Amino acid sequence: MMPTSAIQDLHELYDYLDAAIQLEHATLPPYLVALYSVHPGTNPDAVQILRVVAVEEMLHLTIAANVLNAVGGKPDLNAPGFVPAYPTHLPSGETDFEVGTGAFTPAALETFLKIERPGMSGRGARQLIAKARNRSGSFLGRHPRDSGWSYYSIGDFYNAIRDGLRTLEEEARKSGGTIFTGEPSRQVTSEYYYSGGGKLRAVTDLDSALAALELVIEQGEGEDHGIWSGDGELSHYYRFQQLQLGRYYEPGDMEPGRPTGAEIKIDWDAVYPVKPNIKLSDFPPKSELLGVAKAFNDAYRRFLDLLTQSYNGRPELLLEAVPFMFSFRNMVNELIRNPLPGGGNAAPTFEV
Amino acid sequence: MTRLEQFIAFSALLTGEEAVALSGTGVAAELLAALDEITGAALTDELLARFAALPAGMQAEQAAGDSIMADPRLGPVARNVILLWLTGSWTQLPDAWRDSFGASPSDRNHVISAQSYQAGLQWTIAGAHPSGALQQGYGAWAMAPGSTAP
Repeated sequence: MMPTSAIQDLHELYDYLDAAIQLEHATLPPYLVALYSVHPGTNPDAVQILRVVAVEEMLHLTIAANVLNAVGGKPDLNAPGFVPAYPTHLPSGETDFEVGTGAFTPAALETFLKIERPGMSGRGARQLIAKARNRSGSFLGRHPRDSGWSYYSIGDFYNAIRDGLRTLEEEARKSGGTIFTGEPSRQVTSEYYYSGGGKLRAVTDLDSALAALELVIEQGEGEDHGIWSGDGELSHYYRFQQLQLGRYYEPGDMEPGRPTGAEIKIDWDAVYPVKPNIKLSDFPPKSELLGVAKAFNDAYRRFLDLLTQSYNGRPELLLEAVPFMFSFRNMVNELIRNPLPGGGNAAPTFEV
Repeated sequence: MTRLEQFIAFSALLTGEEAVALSGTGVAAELLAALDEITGAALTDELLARFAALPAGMQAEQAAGDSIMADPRLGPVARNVILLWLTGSWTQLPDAWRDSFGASPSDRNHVISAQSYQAGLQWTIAGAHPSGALQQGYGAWAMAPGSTAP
């Protein structure tokens, strides 16, 4: 029988999981710049929702690394091209929108809804198949636009990975083997990662891998295209939708697009007008502000290095990485609250 | 230079922080408004005028000592501006100052706002975080201050 999975061998699985790590990370600069563009003390609803979503994306990043480690791969967040140049398409290959860094605006919110939109897979005849792809080289280092696959949503992309895991594990078992050959000590578990939303469990076999990725899909787009995840959490898509509709969902609300909870008011003027997709070349030469932007990029490179080490056998380093992350939050705020001479406010450029 | 920019430049001299760091707190306008309200905008303008008249460069600090900090009326207010930036709070002026120059009803110890408290320079200078206001990461309290600084 011909395999129906888009992923047909272990190297393709590595490519997809590398892309998954890259994808989870790629959502963070857009979410974080929008979050910190909000004036301090204002827009508590938007701030809380952006913060919760960003924190869960960090959990998803670690889950993707766990799955890659479980099948014998090596996460590398310092590979050339790992951090995209914004604006960019997502590594999952959605072709109808790009993501970028900028202020929290209605247009940014629209993009965030597209990032988290419910998928097409499993919906009757609308099967999505990866495009035929160039098999040369690994995914990392190539531009996401050239990934060679195109999924409608992040959930569809993860479902392709889940199919691939099932197919490859089934093949391996026929000859008495398994694809889950990774060193268990490379798994990052809850003792190294304090997270408000979602458990971090070791991935050691097919069931734990499928469950871990299911959590990622559910937190993003909901369970079975519903509003709520399996454990009663609102998915990212519907969290953001509340900001667009100006009203909270309440427990018991089942109809998408019809929240019945408390009203949400957004003060779109209480936002620093961050220059979209800012680069170091947008800063005045030799300015104090350029110094801060460069210092941020240096700190961010070291942060990615710390994460890479954490995901390669030293999970205890995550305990240092998190406070380090909070310490460079001050630089992000400093950049975003300073105007540029040419108009618009500064922001971190993420040019590592 | 706008009045706010003048206030930030003056505060950079007083605190030793870069102007981008002060502007980057997001509370500069709020602190300036508080100063205007407590001791009067005319007194703020006088401080800023003295600052504007200082010689440029390395001599500014020494000259500020003579023309601002040693001034019995302006000196204590300038010292309070330093405290304002460090703590995000207003500290009541000394009794001698209040007796000589008048006691404003809002010249009492008070936190300007939740934002100004969080933005206080004391936290970053100490390599610390405002307790209960900005998360620092699980277990960070076991690490030496500054050990996680970028």
